[in-house]
Amino acid sequence: MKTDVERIETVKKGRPLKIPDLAALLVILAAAVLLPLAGLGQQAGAAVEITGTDGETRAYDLGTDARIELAGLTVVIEGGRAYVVGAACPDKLCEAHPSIGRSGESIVCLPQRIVIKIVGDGGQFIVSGA
Amino acid sequence: MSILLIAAVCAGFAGCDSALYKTFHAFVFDTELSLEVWYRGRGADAAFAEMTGYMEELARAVNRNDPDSGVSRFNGAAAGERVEADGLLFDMTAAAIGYYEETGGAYDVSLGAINALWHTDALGLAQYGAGRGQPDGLPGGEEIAAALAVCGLARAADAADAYDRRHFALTESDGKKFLTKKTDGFTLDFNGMAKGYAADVLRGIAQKHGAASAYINVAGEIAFFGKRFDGNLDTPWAVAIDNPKPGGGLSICGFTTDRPGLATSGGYRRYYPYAYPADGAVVECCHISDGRVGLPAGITGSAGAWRNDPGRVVSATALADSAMRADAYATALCVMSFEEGIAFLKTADVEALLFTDDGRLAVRGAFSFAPDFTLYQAYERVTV
Repeated sequence: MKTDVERIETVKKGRPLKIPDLAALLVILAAAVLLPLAGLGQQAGAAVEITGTDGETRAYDLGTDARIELAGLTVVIEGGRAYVVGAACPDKLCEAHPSIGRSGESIVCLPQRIVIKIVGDGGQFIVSGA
Repeated sequence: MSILLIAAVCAGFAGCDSALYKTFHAFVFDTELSLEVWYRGRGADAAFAEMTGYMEELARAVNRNDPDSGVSRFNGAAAGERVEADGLLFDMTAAAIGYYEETGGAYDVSLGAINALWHTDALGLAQYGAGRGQPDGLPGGEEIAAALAVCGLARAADAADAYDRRHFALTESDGKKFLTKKTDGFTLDFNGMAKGYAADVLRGIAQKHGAASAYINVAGEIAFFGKRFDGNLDTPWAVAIDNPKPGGGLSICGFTTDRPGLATSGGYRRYYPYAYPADGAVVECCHISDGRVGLPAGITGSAGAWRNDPGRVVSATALADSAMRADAYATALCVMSFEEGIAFLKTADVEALLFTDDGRLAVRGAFSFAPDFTLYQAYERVTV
């Protein structure tokens, strides 16, 4: 049986990386680079809270893309942001609102009394675009 | 009531800005504009109260939805009539003339007739926006010429001074200020410009009441005061720009800034697509108009065959010394061609990002792009 010192010496003398090891390392490195980009800045724990015309509030994960159909409008969650499409009210101000993704940001549809708000550890970016 | 208060909350979420800032939301200008304030420091409640009062005062002066506002009285006046203009209306008109001159007519707050003709005003976009049908047709040359005849802030041919314009004049007498209309049908619309103007004033109110740091967003025009406190350090404000591509909710880029004023303009979701019945060719008519030619921004061609310029600017972000200037420049940069915009940026005191529909990006200034958003990297970049 080898002693610990012998085992260490064996490892030191061995090939530092075999081809399968290198491939695995490349996969890990690629994931380390690409995953933060795919996250697009959203932070864990953020949620979209939607208070509907019925007065009830429902929460959706900001990190999971979704289309939430409500009476009169659709809330799209995409890439860590939320925005409104297909508003049935006449002024469409909520459609023109920039997407939201930062904790505390909100989109309010006054005619239909719908409030969409980011809660939790949302991203720190203020979004501009109108 | 011109202001609807939605929420005034001292939130307590741990680990995010809400725990560090007191926030205030309201809808102003008869709920047409949203107001969002993040305030850190003493005097928040008093500051919010003063901000609310100021927005009511501003609406009385320039809210076109209020029939009793100063601007509504001017818009309803006949040629030759003189309307007393309070300080706010007078100042905003003077500022609008200044931006019109600086941008070569690309920024113009007197395009009501053009917007109505093309259905790109609030009424038309409500009727046709987001795929809800389309008008029976698009305007032709004679209609456009007729609308242009009652638009524009151009100087009068025989102007007595800088405030003597072709369609109106700003005058002062006996300590009072007046707007005198010269052309029937000429109108002014400050509901867009008021956003940046108000953001700058509200920033001053925050400073006066003792804010250490504040972020003020009036319907997309943004004013910053101080730096953003992240819980440990004062840091630059971090901004992301919405993707101008229809249906794209992802931000196209992000950066940090120390500039006090920021605005982004573009067609974004405020446009309607018109499909020609004969061949199905689609042209998008956005809410920003080019008063130099009487067309929605980014449209070229001729009557019966209007089309979108593939090289048009679809998103312009400007960072300036004030939100009002940033707003005026961002709007003007959407009206200008990409090449005109680059030429303008070479002389203006502004940092800017221009994205075109065909994948070009002009960058003016030393932007510190955030690694969180990478879509902008696919654009062919021009440094101004």
